[in-house]
Amino acid sequence: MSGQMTSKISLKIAGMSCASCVAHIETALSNLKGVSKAQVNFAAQKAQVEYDPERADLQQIARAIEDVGYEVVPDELSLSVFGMRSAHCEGVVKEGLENLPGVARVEPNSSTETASVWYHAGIVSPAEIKETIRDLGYDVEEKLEGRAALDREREARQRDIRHQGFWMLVSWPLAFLIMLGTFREYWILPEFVPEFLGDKFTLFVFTTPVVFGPGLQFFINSWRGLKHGVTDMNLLYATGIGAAYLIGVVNTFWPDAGFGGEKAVFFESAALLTAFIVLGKWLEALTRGRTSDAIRRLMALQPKIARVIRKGKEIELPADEVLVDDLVIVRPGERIPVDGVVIEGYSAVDESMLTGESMPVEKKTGDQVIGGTMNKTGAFRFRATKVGRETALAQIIHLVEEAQASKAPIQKLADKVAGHFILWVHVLALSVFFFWFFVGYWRFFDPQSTFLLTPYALGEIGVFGFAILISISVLVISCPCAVGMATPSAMMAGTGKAAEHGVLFKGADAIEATSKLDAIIFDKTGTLTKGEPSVTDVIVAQGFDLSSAEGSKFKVQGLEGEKAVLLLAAVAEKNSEHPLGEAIVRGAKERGLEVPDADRFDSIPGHGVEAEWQGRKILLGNRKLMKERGVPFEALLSQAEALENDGKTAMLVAAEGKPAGIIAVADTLKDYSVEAVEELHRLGLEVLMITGDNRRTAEAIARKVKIDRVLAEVLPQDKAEKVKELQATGKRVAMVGDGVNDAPALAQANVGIAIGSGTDVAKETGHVILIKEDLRDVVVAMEVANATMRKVKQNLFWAFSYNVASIPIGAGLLYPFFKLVVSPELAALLMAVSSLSVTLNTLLLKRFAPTLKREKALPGKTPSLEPSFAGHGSEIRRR
Amino acid sequence: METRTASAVDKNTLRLSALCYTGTSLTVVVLFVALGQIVGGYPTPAVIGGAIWSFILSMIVTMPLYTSYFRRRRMR
Repeated sequence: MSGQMTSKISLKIAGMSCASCVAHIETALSNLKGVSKAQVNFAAQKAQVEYDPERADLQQIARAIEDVGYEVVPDELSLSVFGMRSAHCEGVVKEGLENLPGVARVEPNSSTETASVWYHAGIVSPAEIKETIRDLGYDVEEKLEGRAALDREREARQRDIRHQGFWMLVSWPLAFLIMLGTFREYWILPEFVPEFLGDKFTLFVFTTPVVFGPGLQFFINSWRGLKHGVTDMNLLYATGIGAAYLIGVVNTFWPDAGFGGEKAVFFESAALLTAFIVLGKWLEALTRGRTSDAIRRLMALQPKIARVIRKGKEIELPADEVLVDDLVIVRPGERIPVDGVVIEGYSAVDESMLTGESMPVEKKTGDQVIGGTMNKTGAFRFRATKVGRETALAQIIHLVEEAQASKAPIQKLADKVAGHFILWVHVLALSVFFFWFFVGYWRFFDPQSTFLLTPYALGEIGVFGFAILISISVLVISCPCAVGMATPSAMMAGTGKAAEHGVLFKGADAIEATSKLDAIIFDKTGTLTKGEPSVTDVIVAQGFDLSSAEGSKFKVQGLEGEKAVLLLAAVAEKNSEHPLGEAIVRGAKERGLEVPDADRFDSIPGHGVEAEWQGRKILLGNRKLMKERGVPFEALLSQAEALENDGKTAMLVAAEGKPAGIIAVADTLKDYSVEAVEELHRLGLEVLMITGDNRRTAEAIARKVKIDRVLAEVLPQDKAEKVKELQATGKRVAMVGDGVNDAPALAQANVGIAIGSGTDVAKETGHVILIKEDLRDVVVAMEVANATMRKVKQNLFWAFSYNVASIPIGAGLLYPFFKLVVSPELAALLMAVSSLSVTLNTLLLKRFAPTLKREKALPGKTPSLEPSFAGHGSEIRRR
Repeated sequence: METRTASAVDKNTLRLSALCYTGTSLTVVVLFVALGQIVGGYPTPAVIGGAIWSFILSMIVTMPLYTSYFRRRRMR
């Protein structure tokens, strides 16, 4: 069939479960207009389609497949796009790639200079995608991971610094000479500056290498973008520099052409404009890497070498070659290469770089060690449990990278503005040119007035020169670099800062949401409390003494009072599997008591236990049990009630039919619960507690921690509903809980904070993950989020203020009133300063320290929130 | 049977959009020159310079607009 044109594509298809699916898809495709042939391969899960591109396209083909219940799966390509540093550049890359047939989706990220591209391999290849990005003016490479990515990124940045630094060396001395030459007739300069320097041909000779050396990059990059139908900031620079230079050339060689004559050569505008823009680029390259210091530091923790025992021999090998179950040796001062469990030896390990915990942590047999942490004092061996991408460090790096690559809602507005800005700036430059050419010049022009930073009396440059210079100033002064980098730079610094303290935000949206919270709900068990009951009080009945001859017939000497009562209870509960019984036995052992087996043990369901030891009877249980057995307990009842009002479970102990005392057992508060809640109150949050416990017990705990409101007797499956109810009152709610058990509530909350995930961060639900089980990190998360959002708002304020204020000034708004108008070179300086001020403001975030840690560091202040470390005579935290 | 790649279709789109943005930019130039004549009193080089500058800026504004519009239309 002559004249028919066809294209062939190969598509990956998901969802085919049997051979009949092949027929479904083939029929759906064959029915599509323009499709001449469709062949589906079930084994390869692929469809080959021949179609007429004038009558069908990829979207229609994909839709036809999806309509019959299958999915067209694009391949994903992760790329490092060097030079893509603004929201506008993101738009350039996105638009450039989306115009490429076969590209399904593009997600660029200027803050990390990366892009994820989803494409159909049958239509477009990774090589074509990369070539398109190069054509757009960016260097591109497939994204590397870990240390290789770190090295590559540093290398690229240093190359950029060297490159722009070299152009600075070229442009600034020449620009300085050009400026001296241009201003030669003013002030005292005629005495020092030789006459030839002021000659317009000398100025031409000096300016040309500036424009075609350092300035050439802007022309090349803007042309590449234009070829693909996209405009970028390089175009602003190129049109500004190009126009100033061209007018200079015309007025130098053809002074009678009518563009202002030989007195208006504008070479200093072209040269200084180039020099200032190159300065801005150089400063940007210098500071760009600083906001991502945290991730760089995390990556630098990955050790290169591991010492492993294989076939009975100790060998050194690259850390990424360690296998699960390898036996790894770590000596003092060495970094631990992978995650594992200590099987021999003892040491203290500095985990501060991963968890934010300032004290070294004691490690002995059975303890977990984390790859990347620093072994301090002793040597030990451990069995590798997680290697490569599975290690905690790799997971943390991945999470932080993901967070830094994500976008906060506030960023979307800035991106939208910056993304369409360039086009509107050119529209504005054209309108401004029209205005000053046709209206402004005639109505407001004063021949004696001058541009700021130029020597010309404006009368010399004529209507065209006047209008075009204002138009150029608008182009240069309007550059939205600062708007584009305001949010992502602060988010990168914020997520990095949080990670340093063991707080992982899963995305920039999590930071923004955390900064807007009204209320925070803590799960009680396992979050505010330790989650396992322990003995809190032992009360001895008056007159009871286990060791006295009269008080007891037990053959235990030297025990009296509380220890005696506890021993009796522990003996009775020794074989019990009840959590309260286990708590009593554990409590006795913790107090140094040896707990012998009872001779006989009976559980009395719903009441307690009855045991026989050394031929004597022990009873442990509730009031009902004591009443039934006729034990006179009236004297102790008021104390039992007081304990119960405090949320504790009071158990009565009797020996030989006589009251011995009361043992109170309760779930105890975690360290720092009170301090954390206090700080959250200080931050203005309402603090709630949610629990399945009865109201009395829950309120007793709440009183201790100073919780504002208690949600008691809530079944686990109803927790999410309670969060929803609170949200319905208009509050933005955070839920703090166990990432696994409280997953639905964490997901329902505006911010789910999973606490104490330890090293398995990837499995956690929640928007924020706290590596340690330290409730103070909830406060750290809030403070980091607040500080980051403050920085974002400050940056956006400065950036938008700059543009809002500078564009009208650049457009000549002040001229009718004050006869002042900004020269292009001053516009370039202002533009560079605005970007620099945003970057420097962001870098101030590096000085941020959470309140609790700052208080600890104050000289002379008692570190009241720091745990006390007894036992080793050194500051080692026991786990 | 003649086989034509997607890039050939793309070239057609680019040609069509080039025609449109060049046409629009020339219209702006005509408008500029006409206004110059109406207001009057401009030296010819100023009008020529202004026309060139207007053409460059108009091209920069309309080129991406038309290109992406026609590409989107083709994809639909």
